[in-house]
Amino acid sequence: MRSPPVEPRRTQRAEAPKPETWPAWATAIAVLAILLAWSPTYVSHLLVVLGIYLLLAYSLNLVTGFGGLIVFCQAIFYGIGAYAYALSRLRTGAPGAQVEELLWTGNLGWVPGILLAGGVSALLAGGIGWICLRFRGDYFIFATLGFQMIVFVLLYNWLELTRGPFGIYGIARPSVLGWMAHEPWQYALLTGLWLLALLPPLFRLYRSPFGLSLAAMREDERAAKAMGIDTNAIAVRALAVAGGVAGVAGAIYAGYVTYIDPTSFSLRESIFILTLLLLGGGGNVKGPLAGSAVMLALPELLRFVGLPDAVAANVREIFYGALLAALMYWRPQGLAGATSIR
Amino acid sequence: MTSDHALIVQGLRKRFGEVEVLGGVDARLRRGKITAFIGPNGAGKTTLFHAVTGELKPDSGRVVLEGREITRREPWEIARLGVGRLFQEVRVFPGLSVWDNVIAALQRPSDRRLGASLLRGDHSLQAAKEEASALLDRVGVDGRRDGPAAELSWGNQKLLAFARLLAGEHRLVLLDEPTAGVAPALGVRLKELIRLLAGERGVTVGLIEHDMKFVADLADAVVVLRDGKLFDHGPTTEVLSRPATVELCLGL
Repeated sequence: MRSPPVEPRRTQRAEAPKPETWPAWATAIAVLAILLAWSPTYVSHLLVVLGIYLLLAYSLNLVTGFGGLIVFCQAIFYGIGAYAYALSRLRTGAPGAQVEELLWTGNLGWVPGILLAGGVSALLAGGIGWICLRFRGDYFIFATLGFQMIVFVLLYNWLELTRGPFGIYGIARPSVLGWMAHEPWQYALLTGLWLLALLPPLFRLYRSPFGLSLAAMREDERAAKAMGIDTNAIAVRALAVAGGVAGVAGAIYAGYVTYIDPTSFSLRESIFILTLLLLGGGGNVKGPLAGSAVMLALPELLRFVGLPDAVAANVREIFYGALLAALMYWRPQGLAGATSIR
Repeated sequence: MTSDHALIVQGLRKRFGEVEVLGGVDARLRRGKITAFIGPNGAGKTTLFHAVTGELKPDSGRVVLEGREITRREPWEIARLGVGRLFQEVRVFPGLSVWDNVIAALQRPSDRRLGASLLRGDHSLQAAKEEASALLDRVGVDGRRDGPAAELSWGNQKLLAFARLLAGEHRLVLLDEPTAGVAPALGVRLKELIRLLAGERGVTVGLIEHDMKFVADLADAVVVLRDGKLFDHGPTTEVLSRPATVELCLGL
């Protein structure tokens, strides 16, 4: 028996030396420090918002960027996290009247409240994923859209649990060992801690066999199955992880604004989160960062252009639309993505 | 079990509307041997492979792999039981790098679990890279390995698909037209790779092929299908010397 030719056909070049990243980091930190010195409250506020959207974009990236599954209900996982957190902490500090009329309220601490929010959202996302994955392709997308509608209507109309359009107010700010986070910079710090706790494991998942299996499913589901990859099972797990992280983002949001109502978790919000990924690109770490940074910085920059208030919002929408269309045409993989989402 | 057949197919039927694509096919693949499936277009060869790998659920009949019935199981379950597949259209993961194509095939179900992946991250990917490198050298894939597999030529994509097959732990591999659209020199290498699978590794091989010379050179046994039914079967030299089979397969 002959064996095939074994002469090595090495074509890979010597690994290019990695560019030094510390100048970029140093610059970013210096710019941040200057901005914070300039206006601590405003910049801290932006950092909290950026942190929340980074969690949302990075969690969706696992499912949409790696798994190639377009999800139109990320705002639901975000919203359920926000409500779970709000209700679980309502007895700590909120005015008594609304506590009396609600079906369930808890007295949890800050960390347990956030963990509960993540857990509830993870379960919900896994369940919704399990149902939606009966469908494939465009039908999957429509199924997630359906759940966006269903859960939104529940949040809006189940007055006994959510107070519907009246919203829940007086949500307790976090207190850590007796230290209350009243100032935006304090809240930004706590938000940063959650990012430090959640993003490294998420990035590790991106680079793991689990992430590679998701990418294989995205590229060719039949070939992935023929390799023994149970694509439905990994997709449900990816959705549960994404939902859990989005739930934590919702809890951070609720704790920050201290008032929530369903309009923050509408289809519009789901589309916005998906846009972060479409704009920045998915399937890697750079893409969602680029997308979130640009989508949050643009309106702030436009603010300084000095457009009259009456037209500013419309101009912004037109600008976004044009930007997205141009990007889809010239860079379908987004600003910094590894793969094109559709 | 004492049977020397790795795969036994009994009375497999599949109907698409009015058309009966498989009309009760029986076939046996001897362990560690190469069995070729030949017959005119539309004879049901690919459908038979789909029914074995779980991509299509047969209407009736049984598929038995190493004594275990696998009829109507999910494709990923059947793959985990040791059935590898080369698709007619190859199906490399186009957007993944050449490395990742092989590394994905090297991963075992236990590596792909969420918990294991959270704990170990990319460590197992790094370890797999050397193994992948050896496999790519062995089959002789030319071209950039850190670039997307879609950039490889057709022939190199075929070789990459073979590297993926070699990466798995298979009892049985089913190859759908391995030589379709490849240059003669590459055909020779593919022949050697198939011999390597069957000979050195003891994998049972089933292959669909239209090139009769390739079949005569390589196959230990031949199964001839026509209109979804078994037309002839037996050792290669015997089957290929029967005039009726020659007439059927050379389209005279």
